[in-house]
Amino acid sequence: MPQKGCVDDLVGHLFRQASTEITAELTRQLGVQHLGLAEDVVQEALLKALRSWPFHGVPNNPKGWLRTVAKNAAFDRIRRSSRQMDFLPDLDVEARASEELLPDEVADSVLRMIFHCCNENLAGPSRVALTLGLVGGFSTGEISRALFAERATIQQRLVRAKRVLKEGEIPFDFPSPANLAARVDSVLDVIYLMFNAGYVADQGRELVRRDLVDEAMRLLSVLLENPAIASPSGEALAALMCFHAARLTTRSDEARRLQLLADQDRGRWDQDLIRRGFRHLLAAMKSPALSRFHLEAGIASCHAAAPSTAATDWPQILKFYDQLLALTSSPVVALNRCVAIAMARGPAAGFHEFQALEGKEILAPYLCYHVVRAELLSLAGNADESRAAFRLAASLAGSDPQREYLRSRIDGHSDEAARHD
Amino acid sequence: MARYMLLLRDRIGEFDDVSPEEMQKVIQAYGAWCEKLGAQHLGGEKLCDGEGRLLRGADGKMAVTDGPFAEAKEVFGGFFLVEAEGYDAAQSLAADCPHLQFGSIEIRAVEEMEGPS
Repeated sequence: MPQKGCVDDLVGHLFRQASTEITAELTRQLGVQHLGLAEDVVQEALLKALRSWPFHGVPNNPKGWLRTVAKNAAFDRIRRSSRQMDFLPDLDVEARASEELLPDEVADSVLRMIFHCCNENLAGPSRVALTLGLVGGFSTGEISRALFAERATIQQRLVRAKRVLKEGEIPFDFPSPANLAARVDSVLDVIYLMFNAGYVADQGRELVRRDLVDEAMRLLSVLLENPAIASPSGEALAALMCFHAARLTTRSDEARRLQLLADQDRGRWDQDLIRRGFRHLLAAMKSPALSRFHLEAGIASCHAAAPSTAATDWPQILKFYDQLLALTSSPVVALNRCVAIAMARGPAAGFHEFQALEGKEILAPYLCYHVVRAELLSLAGNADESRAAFRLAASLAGSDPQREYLRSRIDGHSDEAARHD
Repeated sequence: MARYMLLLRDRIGEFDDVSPEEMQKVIQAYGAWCEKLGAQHLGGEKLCDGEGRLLRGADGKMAVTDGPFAEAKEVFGGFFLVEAEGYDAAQSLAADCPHLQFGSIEIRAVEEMEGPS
């Protein structure tokens, strides 16, 4: 025990990690029907630490301390409830849960928890919320802030999701080999959504919600460490996230204003992350499979490798967009592809493509539609219409940095080179 | 230099929905606070949660109430003992204490024995 009353520095996200690991371990050892109990006793143990450590100091093995306190609380509760219900306590459970798990068994439990949260029986938004809660250790308040949803909505979503898992008697186990690939895809989708929610952050004052970005990257590295689960599309997603994360600090300037790709100080891009991105991309290309993540990572790699907007390999980016559009038929992809066309073949071609875009009306309520339109008009030299389009876009902007940037485009310099982020 | 006691009272229910990350930050803030205090930090004790007994003397009899004292909005949770030049100095030490997120701090000077011992 260190000097009384003083607390050593706790490393990294120790509490968050401990909360995830111990909840997963206990759920595995006590049985998935006790998932709620596991959550409760872990919260109890963390609170006890919060209230005791400032007086007694941080124990030498903080995670071990938390684990022991949580387990004892779990045994207490199980004994108490068996006494109330007048049946013998399940000594088997206690014996099982008293065993220390090996490190790879702990990692394994966390993986099971991730798969549990991404079960096909749950709706997409529920998967994200549940993963943030049970694996990310986010509080209900933090999840609602991260996903820009009402606290009550998230609470309801979590309760309902847990009920679905309980009533469906979903085992706390790896999916069967036949279902593994589909479930891994579901997990990757959840991680992708988590990362995007953090990276795009189109509401509120902050442009980047670092917490979500970090958590998405942490979860993916947990997945990729397991050879049975690592997949080419997982590697591609990792590459994509590394390339984007490498630019995180340059996305807003010191005054937290939005900095688009063309204006970013490329010297400040994180070269380590970019190198990591290329390593993941190489691993992703070891198989002929081509996922949406491969193509998006490909686009991001072109930007990461380019010394400037002008010297960017736009024809290659356009090729990736062509494939991405064929694969996803996403209207947002089609929209962004127009910018790539403008950069690769000239403003007129880009605007022509945009005009010819079918079904683009469904995008009209969204900011991206008006930004792309304004950008294309500006590239095509149509200053008046471009200004009007930027004005419309500014009225739809969700975050302060976005709004400020778009306003600056209304006020002038609409003749600048294309910005595309 | 005099000794001051910081009496920490916890607001009930203040710990609901605090995430692991937030808890760790509070503990780290305590670490920084202690470090800043250095030798002025003389000690402290945390009181056990949950149980407690309140004794009252009346008409030569003693009335005993078992805690926790549900009617109270704040519960006495612990104390720190610090050294400071005066109340103002003690107050500025306590003002950074992370406990203020979760309750109140009452500062009281410890009376030292005066005169010949």
